[in-house]
Amino acid sequence: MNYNKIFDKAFSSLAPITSNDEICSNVMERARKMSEKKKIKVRKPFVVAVAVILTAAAATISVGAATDWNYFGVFGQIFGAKSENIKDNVLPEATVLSDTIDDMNFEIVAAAADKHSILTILDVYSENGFKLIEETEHGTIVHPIHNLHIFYNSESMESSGVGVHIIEQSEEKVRLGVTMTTESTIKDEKLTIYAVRENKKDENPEHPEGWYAWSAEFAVSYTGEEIRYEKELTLHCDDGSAKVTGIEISSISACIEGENLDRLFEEYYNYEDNYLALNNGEKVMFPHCSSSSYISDDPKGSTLLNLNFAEPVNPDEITSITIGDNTIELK
Amino acid sequence: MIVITTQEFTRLVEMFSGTVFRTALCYTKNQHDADDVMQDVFLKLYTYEKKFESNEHVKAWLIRVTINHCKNLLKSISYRLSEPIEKAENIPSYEQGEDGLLSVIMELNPKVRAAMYMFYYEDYSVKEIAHITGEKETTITTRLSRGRKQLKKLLLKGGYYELQ
Repeated sequence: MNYNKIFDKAFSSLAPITSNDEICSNVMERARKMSEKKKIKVRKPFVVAVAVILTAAAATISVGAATDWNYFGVFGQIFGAKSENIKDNVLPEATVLSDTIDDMNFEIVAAAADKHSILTILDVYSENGFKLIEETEHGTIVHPIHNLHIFYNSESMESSGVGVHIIEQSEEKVRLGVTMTTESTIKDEKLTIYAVRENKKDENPEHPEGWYAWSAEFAVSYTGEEIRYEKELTLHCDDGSAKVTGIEISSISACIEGENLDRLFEEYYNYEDNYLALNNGEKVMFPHCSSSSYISDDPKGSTLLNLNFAEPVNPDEITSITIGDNTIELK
Repeated sequence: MIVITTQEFTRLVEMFSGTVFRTALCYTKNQHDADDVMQDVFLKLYTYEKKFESNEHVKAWLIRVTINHCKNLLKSISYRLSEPIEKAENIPSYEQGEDGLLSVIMELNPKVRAAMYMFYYEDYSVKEIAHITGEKETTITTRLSRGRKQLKKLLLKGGYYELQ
């Protein structure tokens, strides 16, 4: 087949919706407004650290995730620390808008961290009678989450990515799992989690363009422990073989050590549904590996593949990990 | 050396808006999202403070930023939760063209589709695609090989025999 011809026929007539003149004027206008609002510094180098946070309210909440596992209790056991220094910290520049972050209330329900990862359970509540979810003829619309960016920040650490996953949702509440990975080892850090909504210019002159944020700051007081498995095995991937030398499982991530693990990572991403399964003998759990997974290389040629779970799991129950066509037996 | 002045920016938009838009479409499969991505990417270019060596350098930078932006978009919660009207009403969210070839290409995995687009439409080599995307050459080769097999199968299934 002549693939040049196929791609030429398919793509040559495609053109942007916006004209070049419009692109230039839109971009320059946005740049001008960005410059004006530069004092809102919520986009610092991303970060990380960790610990655990249980609010007073959280202690009374008992929710079994998808695994029927009371992870709040386990989070408490593993990480021990409690913090109540959560605060609503709307930026001074924020203006009250309808259908914005001001119609929502945020609460950190729990947070846990291991060597390279953090998972925060964040509840978003509706306020002022606003519905978080609406069924329309065009499908389900989750209004307030639209344009909501959630990320972590700290002064000294950089993250490799943030993943957000819905654990459960209703008209009044959406529970999110917010994961992050860092190549640094998490220690005593002060961490801030931000929920930021960008309001782009619309037809209403009373709606200024800008960033509207909620944030909560908490100190990292404890680093969790992982279950370590010494494993020597070779896995066959599409791009060749990958060698596994060790695995550490915590309640929030699987950290695989070895060589050529980028091939395993590629294998994982080649599956349409990003297939990753944790098996506990009786059932298979799909923790939805988040976007904060990463590969890191060291000078000796070994690699570290860190797969964050979108929801917490009980590490004791995990008997094997399946990534694409490969299954790694742990017990 | 290219320094991003207003005049240079206007010239670069003229030159590369199509490339950025089509690259974004490879990932988003939706013209409106691709258009939004394109404007965000050009905003990054406009506010970029470093110098470029050549037009090709700008183009490669734009493609890399577009791909990263698209990946972030696809991971974002708002994108995953929003259901386009086109999807709800089961109509394509991009211009198909008379021959419908684009629809067939859109059935490929986004990474495979992007690699094939860069190779067959933008005429980049495997080495150049690997450099732009930050992937290994073997990975790009695998994607191209896999893409050719899948696309051939899809085209034959769709009755596109004349393209053989």
